[in-house]
Amino acid sequence: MSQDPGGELVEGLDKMEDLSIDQFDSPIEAGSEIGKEHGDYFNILGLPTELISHVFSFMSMEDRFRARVNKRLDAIELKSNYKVESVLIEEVEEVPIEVKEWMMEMKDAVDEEDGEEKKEELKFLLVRRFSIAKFSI
Amino acid sequence: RIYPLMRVTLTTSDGASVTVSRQLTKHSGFIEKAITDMAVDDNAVPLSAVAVDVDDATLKLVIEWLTEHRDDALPYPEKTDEERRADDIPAWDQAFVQKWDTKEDQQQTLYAVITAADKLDIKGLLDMTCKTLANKINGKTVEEMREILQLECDFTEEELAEIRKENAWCEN
Repeated sequence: MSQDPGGELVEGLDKMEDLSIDQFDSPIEAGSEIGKEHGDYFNILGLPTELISHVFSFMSMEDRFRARVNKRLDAIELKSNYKVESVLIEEVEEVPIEVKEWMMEMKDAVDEEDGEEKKEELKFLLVRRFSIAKFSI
Repeated sequence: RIYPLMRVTLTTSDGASVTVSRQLTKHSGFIEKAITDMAVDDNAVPLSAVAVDVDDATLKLVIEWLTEHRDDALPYPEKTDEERRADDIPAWDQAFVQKWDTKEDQQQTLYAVITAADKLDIKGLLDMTCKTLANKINGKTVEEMREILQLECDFTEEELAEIRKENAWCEN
């Protein structure tokens, strides 16, 4: 036990040594068995939603995704926010056919407009609409 | 100001009572509010007993933790989402929890202490026990998590397929 050097607190702490866990008026071990009604496992669904969310807040995003092992935990995670330092959008090898068709339409429009600025705008639109980070026009 | 000689009597859900120093109860938002609501002078003793919805065996563990952490800073330093991590549990706390591992009912003990920390509004104890639970399932596969928590899969086949698709990037 740490002791404060002098003063009221030391006296208080000294007294407190006599006031801690063994001062129950009734025998502790003869009392209730902790959580007996829940069986021999951690009854996570017995916790209120905010406590489950609190537990999940100490887990990585990967673990939180995997922890959606039933409907209630999935629903809790759906309402959770994730804060990440960065997002890496991987380069797409195969552009989906519907995207290709849309790109061709846009390309024709860009060719008609004939300008590099339009191409940059098109790239931006593609990134936002289809999460494609890199492609060629 | 907290007067260290001031004592607070707590009565448990199963009828036991214990008298503890205010040095311990100051970390419990619930008990501090109850004392404030009594509108008594800090030096006034004895106080009326504060009833806590926690059984005696669990309260004993809570008081053991409070005794060790009586000098912790107040107010409790809240951490942002970015600062939260489960691998920074102090050594004493780890040993405190590991003592339960020798008991058959250690899962229930953890459950009881988490709910007690929540009811008594002891933020440090709540964080520590929630981190302990998080550590039990961190890094586990879906099936391992389901086994540890003993949860049945209640998804439909379609829902399960969707979950697997969403989890494809993080399945190990």
